[in-house]
Amino acid sequence: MGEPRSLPSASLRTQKEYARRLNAALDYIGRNIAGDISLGKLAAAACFSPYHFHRIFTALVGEPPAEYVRRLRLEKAAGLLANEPATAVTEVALACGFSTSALFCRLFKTRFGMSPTAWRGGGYEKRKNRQQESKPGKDKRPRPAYRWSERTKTWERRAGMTKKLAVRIEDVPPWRVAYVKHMKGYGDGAGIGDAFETLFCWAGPRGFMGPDMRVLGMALDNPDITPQDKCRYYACVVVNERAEADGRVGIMTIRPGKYAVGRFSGGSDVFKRAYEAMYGEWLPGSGWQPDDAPALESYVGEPTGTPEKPRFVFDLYIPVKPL
Amino acid sequence: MRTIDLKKSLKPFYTVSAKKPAIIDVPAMNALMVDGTGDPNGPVFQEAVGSLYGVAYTLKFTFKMKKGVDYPVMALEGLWCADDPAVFASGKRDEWKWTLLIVLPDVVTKKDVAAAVAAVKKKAKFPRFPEVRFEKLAEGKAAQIMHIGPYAAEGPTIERLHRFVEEQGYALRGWHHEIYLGDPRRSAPEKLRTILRHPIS
Repeated sequence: MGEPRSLPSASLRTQKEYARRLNAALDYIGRNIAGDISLGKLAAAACFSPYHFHRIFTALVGEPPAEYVRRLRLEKAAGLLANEPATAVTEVALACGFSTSALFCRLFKTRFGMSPTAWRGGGYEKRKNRQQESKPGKDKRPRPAYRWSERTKTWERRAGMTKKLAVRIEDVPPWRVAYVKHMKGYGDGAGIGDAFETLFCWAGPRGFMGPDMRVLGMALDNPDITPQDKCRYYACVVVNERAEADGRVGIMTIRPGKYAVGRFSGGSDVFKRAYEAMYGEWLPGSGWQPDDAPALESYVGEPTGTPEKPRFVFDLYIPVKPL
Repeated sequence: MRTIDLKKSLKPFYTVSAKKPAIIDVPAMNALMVDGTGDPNGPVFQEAVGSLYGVAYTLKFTFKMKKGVDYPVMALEGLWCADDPAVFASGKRDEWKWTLLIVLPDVVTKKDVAAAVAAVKKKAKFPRFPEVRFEKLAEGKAAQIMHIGPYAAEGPTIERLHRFVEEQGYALRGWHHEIYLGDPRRSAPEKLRTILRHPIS
């Protein structure tokens, strides 16, 4: 009765646990800003599997970990340059975790539009005065779902980010799938269709296609990390124990067990949104954490719309385990 | 790029009442077909369904990628008959004869189908590839009703359809026709929707 909000306790507990782990990751970054910060070490510090850590971090913080680390390093360096005129540029670079001053200068220019020396020689002052005059610019980045609260010292969910997302937990049997690999990215023209064509030509005559077939897509790489044209995608169709691998067509068994399943529909950009919604909005309040296995896209019907503007309906399956 | 919305243009023939049978005039349509005999739960039937889908999707991809035409793969349909119709009631499934089909848009020609069949055969490397062919299906006047429920429970609905045809002063002709709108895995058996159709004269 006296509680300000009636959040289910499991949800509150998960949110707190996610916040605690995120803090551990951010602390780790803070402590090691001058050293080597890899995604793997960061994930380990946060007790998340490296497989999903990138998405969770991006969703909660609003930018990918590597970008966040680079931004922090550059900002720290910019501060040092402005405030410690006696420290050499190379020294600043090394103190902020850049391996060479050449790399540092290039990244610095990209970010601040001038060389570290120009920054130190009056560029910073000019920029500061200009920024105070003009209104703060619009940030094109989507707003992160969480923000740091100084009052409670935790990450709190932003108001207005609680769009209803119907997610169910499903027990998936060890689906045996036939797959054709596609290693050239997820774009519309990238040729995922060719992988499916090869798969269907194989699966059809063997009796694995019909009105009840289950067609899956496995996106193994995160396009925010892996170069767009190198992302791996497996086109899959569920088969039975009679299926045998043959040439380009491989056979594997999907990790059985609990999956969090959400249904999404929309154009080509829906996939990115779907992953963000599941990892950033749903998971932190769910009482679950992602398990170390790939997520699955289970297609509902075939794409509609035009080839330039296809529309998809699919269930996104995220492997989960209790927190 | 052109989009052919077959599902929309053919909607009048696929929108069927489960409450009472109706008489319609079905236009001639091109289709992919494959013939066979035997139990619909057996491997021969499964291979036939799969091959039909394999060719249907290959055609769809070919048209989308190479010809700039996009169309949906339509629902699976089946034509059923037997030398002695009593085998349907008695469940002697070995004697059931069937032709499975998937309707195609008019842009797809016999030549396109032959090319797709050859491509699937080559890629599939499958010894017993069922003969998938292109044929025009012209049913004309027909009576139809929606059956909602498992396939095995179609009996009473079929009887209702036949009684209706008789009451309206028509006679059955040709093969019994079923259009499988439901997805046997994703919907519960009692919710499966199947159009039951029979040409009449």
